[in-house]
Parts: sequence; structure tokens; C-alpha cells
Amino acid sequence: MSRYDDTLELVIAKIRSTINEDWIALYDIDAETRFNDDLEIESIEFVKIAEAIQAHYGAQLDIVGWLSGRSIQELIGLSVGELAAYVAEATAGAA
Amino acid sequence: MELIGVPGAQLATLALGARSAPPLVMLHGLVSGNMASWYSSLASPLSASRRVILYDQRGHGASSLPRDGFDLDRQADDLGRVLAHHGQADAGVDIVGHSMGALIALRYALRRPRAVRRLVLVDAPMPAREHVAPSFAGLRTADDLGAWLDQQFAGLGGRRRERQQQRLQALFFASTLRADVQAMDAEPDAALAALKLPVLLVYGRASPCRAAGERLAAVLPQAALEWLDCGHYIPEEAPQALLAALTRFLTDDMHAHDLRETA
Repeated sequence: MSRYDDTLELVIAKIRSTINEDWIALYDIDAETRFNDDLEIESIEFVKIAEAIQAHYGAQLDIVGWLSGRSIQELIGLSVGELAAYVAEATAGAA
Repeated sequence: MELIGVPGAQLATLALGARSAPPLVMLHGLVSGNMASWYSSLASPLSASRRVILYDQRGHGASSLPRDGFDLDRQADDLGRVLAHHGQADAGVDIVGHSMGALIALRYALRRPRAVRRLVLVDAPMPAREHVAPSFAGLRTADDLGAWLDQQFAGLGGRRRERQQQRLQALFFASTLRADVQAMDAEPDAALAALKLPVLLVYGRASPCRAAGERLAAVLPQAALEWLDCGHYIPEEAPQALLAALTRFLTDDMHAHDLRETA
């Protein structure tokens, strides 16, 4: 698997563990899945997911810097793949 | 993000920015607010030069849904515990609050003026018994609540609407929240007049709370009032203008100087 695929898998795992409801365990999440239209997550859940990813990578990642200045609605409009692509790129040098 | 215990509740909290940077805590508004109200649009940019502390008030966001404790004294206690958890209880913290969060911030500052460096009240709806309570006073049934949700949160649907309805059902029908808000009077003029802190009042020109801003500006001894082109929900409606106002106010060291002279 590529570095992006590993990251995507990690992001999906963080989404499942953060939402932590029965349906999300069974939901088929891939890079195209959208936080807003498909998962219908709440803004506070996006914050939790971002923070869980940040906690996983620690100092390698500055997710807050990347999100900075964007509205929460804009962030919830992202796809899972867009978030994973950022994380993979930001942590590329540290592998 | 972590959960901390306070009397009767678990509060979710989060700190952004360098541990050694000057502390700033941001308090969201009632019902529709939580840490996400500030997180990316305001807390993230401010955390470049500050330690920004966020938390979900009791009954909101990722915090637990207790049956009581929504009065300003209990919520100011919660704020004190959150600050203590982050090692900032006596640090001379800057506080920004929107709506109910502004009323909690103001109560905290009136009780512990020396623990507060500067205060920003964003569309503080004082008194809440007049500005806030009437909006949900008539809700009696789940149907009333559904109609209220559709009116207050236009466009909210699906899972998000369901979750918000469950949360509000607990807050409105199974907690003291509405009674606590109904009991919230204005802070006494004499107490406000004695608050020797730099205060920035930010209000929306189209907000129904304008009169509260004018009153606070007249009574608080070190207050500046700034009007933005928006309504009550300033963090969502005018985040850029609010960020600019916060940045100006919170980086002007003259304010800190004033505080030392009068403390």
C-alpha cells in the first residue's frame, strides 16, 4: 500500500472511533465519502476527528495550522480523501 | 481533546498553541454553540501567538448533559475549573465569550477581576431573561421543539437534526436550563462600574441585543464598543471582522498597562 493509502486507512479508523455509533462501523467509507453529505457529521465531531488525527501524529503534523481561518462549514464540506491527502503530504518528510 | 470532571458534569476541553504563550479562553453561545464555533475560523489563527483554551459548556458539544447547573455562578465555576485544569487559574487570562458565553465570562470577571487580563463580550444578551428566555419559553412538546428547531436552524436535516433534537429535548425538557436562563437578571450597575478591566464589546448592527451593548458601554469604566455588519451570531456571520477586532484589542499592550495601574 502507498503512504496515502495507509493515511486514508488511519483517517477512516479515526472517523469510525470518533463517531462510535453502530451504523458507522458498517458504513462503507472511502476517499470520495463526504463528511457533510454522506456522513452528516456535526461540527463538534469534525473537531474531534481532527484532534484525534493530530494526537496520532503529534509534532509531525500541524492540522490546526492547515485548518486555520477556514469556516467549520467549509471543512465539513471536504471529502475523506481530501483530508487524508493533506495529512499524507504534511507527514511525508517524517516517515 | 479531553474530558474533565466538574461538579455534576464532564466537560470536553482542548488547548491550541504553545504552552508558554499568553492564555486566551473562548466561550461559545447557548444551544447552537460548542468548541467548533471557534475552532478553525478564530481559535486556530489566534493560536499562532497564544495558548487558546476551548471547552464545551455543560450540556453542549462533547460535554455531558447534566440536569442542572446552567446558572451563571455554576457556569463561572466551570470556567474556573477548566482554567485550573490548564494551569491558568491565576494567570491573568484573556477571555472572549459569545452570547451566553459572554455572560459567563462577565460573571467570572466580576467575581475574580484579578484573574482576568482583558475581556471581550461578543453580543452579550444581558439580561438573558429578556433577550434569550422568550425565544424558547413556549416550548411544551416534542412537536413544538421540532418546529422551533426548523425555525432556528433552517436547513438542518437528517442525522444532525435528529441529534440536535435529542440534545435539546434533554436540555429544555429534562434540565433546569430554561428556568436558569429565565432567572438571569442584568449584572448590577455598581458591580459593572467597579470592574477595572479593559473590555471590548462587539455587537452586530442587526442584532436584537444592541441595547445590551449600549448599556454595558455606558456603565463599564474601560469599555470600547465596536459594531459589526451582522446579526447576533457574530462568530458564524462575521468571523473575519471579529478576528480583526480581537487581534487589534488583544495585541494592544496599552490595555495590559492600564490594568496594572488600576489593579
